[in-house]
Amino acid sequence: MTEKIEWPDFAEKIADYTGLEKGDIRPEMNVYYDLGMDSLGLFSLGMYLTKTYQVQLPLSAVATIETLENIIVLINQQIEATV
Amino acid sequence: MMVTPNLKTINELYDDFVQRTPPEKPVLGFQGHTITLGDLCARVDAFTIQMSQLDVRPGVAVGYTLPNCPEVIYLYFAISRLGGCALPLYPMIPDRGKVGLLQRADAQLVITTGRQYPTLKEASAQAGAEYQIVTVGAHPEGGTSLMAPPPADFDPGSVILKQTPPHLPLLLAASSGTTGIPKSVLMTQANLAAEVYAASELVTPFTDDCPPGYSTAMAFPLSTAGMIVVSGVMFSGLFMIFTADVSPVKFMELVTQWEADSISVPPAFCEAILSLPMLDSFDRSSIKRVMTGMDFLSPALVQRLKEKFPNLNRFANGYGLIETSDVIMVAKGTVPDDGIVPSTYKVTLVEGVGNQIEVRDEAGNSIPAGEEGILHVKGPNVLQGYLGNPEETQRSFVDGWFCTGDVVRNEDNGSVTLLGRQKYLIKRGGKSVSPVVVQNHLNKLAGVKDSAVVGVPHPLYGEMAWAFVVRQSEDAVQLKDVMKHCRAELANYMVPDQITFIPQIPKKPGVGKVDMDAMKAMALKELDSIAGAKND
Repeated sequence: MTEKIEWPDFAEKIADYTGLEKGDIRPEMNVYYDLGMDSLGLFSLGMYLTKTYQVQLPLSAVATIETLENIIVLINQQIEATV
Repeated sequence: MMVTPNLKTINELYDDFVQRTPPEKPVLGFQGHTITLGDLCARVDAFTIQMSQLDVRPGVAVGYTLPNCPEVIYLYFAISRLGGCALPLYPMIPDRGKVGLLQRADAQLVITTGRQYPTLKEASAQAGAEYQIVTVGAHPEGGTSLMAPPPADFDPGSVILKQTPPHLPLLLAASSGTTGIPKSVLMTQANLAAEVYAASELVTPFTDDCPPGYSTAMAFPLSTAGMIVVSGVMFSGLFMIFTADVSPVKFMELVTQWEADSISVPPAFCEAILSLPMLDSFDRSSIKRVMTGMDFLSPALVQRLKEKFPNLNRFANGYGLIETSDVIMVAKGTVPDDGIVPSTYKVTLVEGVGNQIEVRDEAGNSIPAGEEGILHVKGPNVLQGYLGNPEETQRSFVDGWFCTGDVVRNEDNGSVTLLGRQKYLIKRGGKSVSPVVVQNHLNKLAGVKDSAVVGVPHPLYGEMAWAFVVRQSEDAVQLKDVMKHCRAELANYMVPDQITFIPQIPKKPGVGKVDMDAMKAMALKELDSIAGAKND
């Protein structure tokens, strides 16, 4: 994966994984409070995005995530670092 | 220990705590605010009055679904003082699931937040539920809110129970039991009072050699087990600090802000804290003790905690099940400078509570020290059985002895070494998940031909729930459909972490039993290819 991820595509992937409607996915959503995830759930979402976008996410960074915006920023940073 | 095992109900323990504690003593810290005992009593009194006017009395079940907040604690004690029965519902259970549980419990009153109210009301109306729903904060439709001030001249003493029968039900909860199939259990005032003594063992001797104001930052949800343990910890005199949002970063901010003396967190949460890249930027010097529960605490984890929390000098881990009103045995000890502790799996029965343990073989015979068997428990912590499920009660509760289903080595003198859990359950982040329940739910989805769910060991977080799904055709059902179906009715911790679509469920030769090992191997291979690359 070398191209930057855009929000609409990312929102669709999040909708697939969470079972929510794409229109309900917002950047400021808190993964713990709004999506009801725990540490393991967040790690599992990270695995799914790793597979989907073929990008490596550092485990240490996953624990710092609080919002969906944090995730897309992290993915795009990883993409940028590997280009 | 500041609580003595001669009080037989939660109400007696609450009154005793209030009498022996100065009103100005801080007891809770929430989102940066300090709540003194005086504040807590005032709120409990106000809730007691409000709920008596909503007709809460002995025999009335009160459901509540709230995020972590002090109101959960006030509600629990107010319900107890009125003789009602509390039904805590984890906020992340979907509304339809909550309504089913409330209807089965015949709840007459439900308490929630203004934010959750509209969807809960809608789901309740669809199911024809007849209970009243009130809120703790502002009511979105101008209905009853427990935050409204009670009448000034109303004396809570006129509505609380004069005498509390020890066998009065106080808490209704769900247990996954030994098979993982959810079952309802009822805990009495006496069960929960016994648990206060048992849970206080997690705290002692921490309080004996610490100055007043000793504090602990908690990352446990204030659901059933969390609330039960909180009573024991609070009545033991600890200042408890918690927050609504328990992300690892927020938690460390909380620890730093309050200069907490100890942390009370599940082992998986310790792992999440340790994986924070900015952990070194937090001041961790205040932490001297770690208290855990809900899962195994490994010696390796204690050692890694010691590396990051240099002043850590004690650990304690509680063992118990819902059927034993939570903690009955504790593993605890000191943490030396090198962080190497001899054992964290050897747990000892808390003395003075009146519980007994026995280790038995599969035929039910007691086995001697040094041998392995199944742990059985009897005593005031042990419940009477499962509600409306005589078959399972008969299987698991015999002559007052509860079969935990946990494999242990008998170490004699009230101690055992925990060796493993029941083979059917997935232990995910400290909670038990039944593969059978998840599979049955998956199989209900149109387009799903078959499914199997296995627990896949994760190096840090216990086990992941991994679902293998066989579709009727490739376009019959997609990931989103499966996840939407799961999130509609399953609690969030039961929703599979990963879904893999496969052409057929692998079976063993012979009678064709599902080959769990083959699926675990497939999952581990995928996990290695992804997670292995992610560990930096």
